[in-house]
Amino acid sequence: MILILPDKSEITLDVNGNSIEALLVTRGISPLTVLVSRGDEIIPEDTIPEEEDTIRIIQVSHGG
Amino acid sequence: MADNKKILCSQCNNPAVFLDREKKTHLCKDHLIQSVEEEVMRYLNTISDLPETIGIAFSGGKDSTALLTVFSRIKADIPCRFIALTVDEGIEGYRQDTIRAAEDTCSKLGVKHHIISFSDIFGSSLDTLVSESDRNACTICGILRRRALEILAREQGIRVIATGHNQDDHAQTALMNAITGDVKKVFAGYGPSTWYARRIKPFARVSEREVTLYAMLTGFFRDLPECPYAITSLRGEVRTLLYRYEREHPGAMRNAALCEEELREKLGGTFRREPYQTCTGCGWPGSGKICQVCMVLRRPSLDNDPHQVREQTR
Repeated sequence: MILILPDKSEITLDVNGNSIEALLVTRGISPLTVLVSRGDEIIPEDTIPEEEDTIRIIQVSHGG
Repeated sequence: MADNKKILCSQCNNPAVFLDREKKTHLCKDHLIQSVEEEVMRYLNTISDLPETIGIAFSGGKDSTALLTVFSRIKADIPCRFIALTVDEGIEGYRQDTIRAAEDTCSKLGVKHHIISFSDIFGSSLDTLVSESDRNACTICGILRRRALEILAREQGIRVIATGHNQDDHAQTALMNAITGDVKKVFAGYGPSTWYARRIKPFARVSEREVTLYAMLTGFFRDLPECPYAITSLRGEVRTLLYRYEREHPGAMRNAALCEEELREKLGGTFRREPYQTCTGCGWPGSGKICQVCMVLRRPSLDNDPHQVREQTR
């Protein structure tokens, strides 16, 4: 799975049956601070992605 | 809860976009939008004596954009008209983008838009004021932005202002007030005032993620930069702490926000406040002989204040 971080950098992860939330936590990202999309669709963070998915992380910024 | 098939909405069979961790349910795009709009409607129905027109404090960021969008979408059902009020603090590399976004959004939504800047009324941008002060940037900004919004509201005849503060903001504020031991802040603004515009907060029970998702799903989300001063604040630290706690104890932020709200409602009438004094720097009511605005701007008295006439008669 390819994970596109808020700073637009990309990392490759093995899903191994983990949810997106679990994968985010291993990267030190709180799932409550972000939204997640797959393609053009927003998906909940408890989704288990496929190994070939590209998941984009959208930061829920503050100051608005 | 986790499933490798597409997760469906708990209310219909459409693909889910949001997990409500407290209720352990999922919502699709339409039901998330509906949920946010219904909550705003519910909130407005609890507010008595709404005037004919209210102001929406509109920074151009995601929260106030979402709020303006909600109001625009449900305007046939709400008991008042609304205009957008924007304060340009003068933050290099940040505010220009959000002001442009604000103007664009108001144009698309057909909402009347009024802007006031720190430079116009205080003579300096926030960047300049921060560089000349040893105070925290967010403290300076908060104090002056409130005054700027009041001035703009008065110019437009607005006596009620809706802000985009969401549930996460309220939870953070509640914890910050507890950490700093500032009981006065818990009851600040409680009760009627003949001088200051009344504040209402329609997103008080909507999480920041729901607000952001609402803005995205209705087509008004812009990936704007975060305020460069935000990361240096106590609020940033509290936010991180609360998110960690919320993950382990869903509903914690809602409870923290509601707890302080309930304290305010139950005890606000008995909390003894110092009466307002007239500031000798600008003539506005405040908590001392010199108000916070004048202290930030270092205005010692009315006679020596080159901005006082401009601020009051602009």
